[in-house]
Amino acid sequence: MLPHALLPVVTIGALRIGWILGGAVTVEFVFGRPGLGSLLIRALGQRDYPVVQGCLLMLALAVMLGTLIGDLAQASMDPRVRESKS
Amino acid sequence: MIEHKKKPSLSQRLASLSVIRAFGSKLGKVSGGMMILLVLVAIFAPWIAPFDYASQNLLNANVAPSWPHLLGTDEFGRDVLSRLIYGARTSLSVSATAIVISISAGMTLGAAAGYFGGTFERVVMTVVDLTWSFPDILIALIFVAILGPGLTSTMFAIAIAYLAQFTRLTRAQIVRLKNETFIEATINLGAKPSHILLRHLLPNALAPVIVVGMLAIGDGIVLEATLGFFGLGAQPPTPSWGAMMSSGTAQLFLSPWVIIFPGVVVAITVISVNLFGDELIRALDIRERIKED
Repeated sequence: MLPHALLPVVTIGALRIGWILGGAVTVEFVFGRPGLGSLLIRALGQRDYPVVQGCLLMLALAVMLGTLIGDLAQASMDPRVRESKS
Repeated sequence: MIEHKKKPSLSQRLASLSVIRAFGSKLGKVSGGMMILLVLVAIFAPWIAPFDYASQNLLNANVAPSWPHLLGTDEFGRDVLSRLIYGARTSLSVSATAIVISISAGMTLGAAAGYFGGTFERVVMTVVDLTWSFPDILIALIFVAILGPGLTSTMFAIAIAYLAQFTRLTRAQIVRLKNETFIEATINLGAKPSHILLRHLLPNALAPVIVVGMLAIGDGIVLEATLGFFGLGAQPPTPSWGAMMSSGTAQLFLSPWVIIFPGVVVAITVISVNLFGDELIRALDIRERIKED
């Protein structure tokens, strides 16, 4: 029962990883935590475009990795996905 | 928008009726009334506001809510209530304009992609999905960084952040409608693609897009407040709810009213916009059509 109920949760959860990082931008800024988000905001303020590009590259990689992990987790849980891929 | 001389199109008639029907329930009355009140406050700001939004009075800085400063004053002694009232102008107009830009561009792109298909559709949808995969706040931040801080760039940033939503929704509607019998009949009667798109496809795709646009105005207000909070939106002394909260964080424990009231106003606005949007969905009975994409 549980694996079946878990499938949509895993899908949404994997898609949300990128969004969590985006939300972290605000939280880091408000509470003054050093991190990717506050680095991005500071670089934007100083017009430091290479740093902005680097931050966005890391965020894009995180989104892609999150989606990949979600797909792999789903394949390991759902035989239908596993069979159709092979 | 298409203007019918003799009679309004079906979806226009539907929308105008449904706005009234959305007011039918108790929730619709409260949320719709709240929205109308906010718009009126924004329009008549100079007559309602008790003080000038920019006039400083350093002797009266950080005064707690009391008479005559009903919601207190901020660190420069400016009246919080007056700034909130003028801030409604900034927030509502920026958000609404941005969503209108977003809907126009999104509907054009989505309709063209859905109708013509092929390589064009693939390119458009790939680019749109690219912006869709990032959180809206990040997209908005990037575009404000490119365009420079200010209200105009905030507007375009919000418009681009929500473009994907409208493009996808319109495309889904067009693709669904394209194979209906009445479109086939119109094609067989020899109608040109522009006629089919403007007269038959877009009017039928309009209702869900308008409702989603309505809900997006709520998100747009939050996004505008967030950008203002980062200091990238309205530049001082223009009042904006987000910028007010940002200046309030420095003295959160000393004078909490500077940050609490803008937050409360943003929350009330967004909640009433979302509730009214939900009522509109119920009145139009298009929940399935919005969900299908």
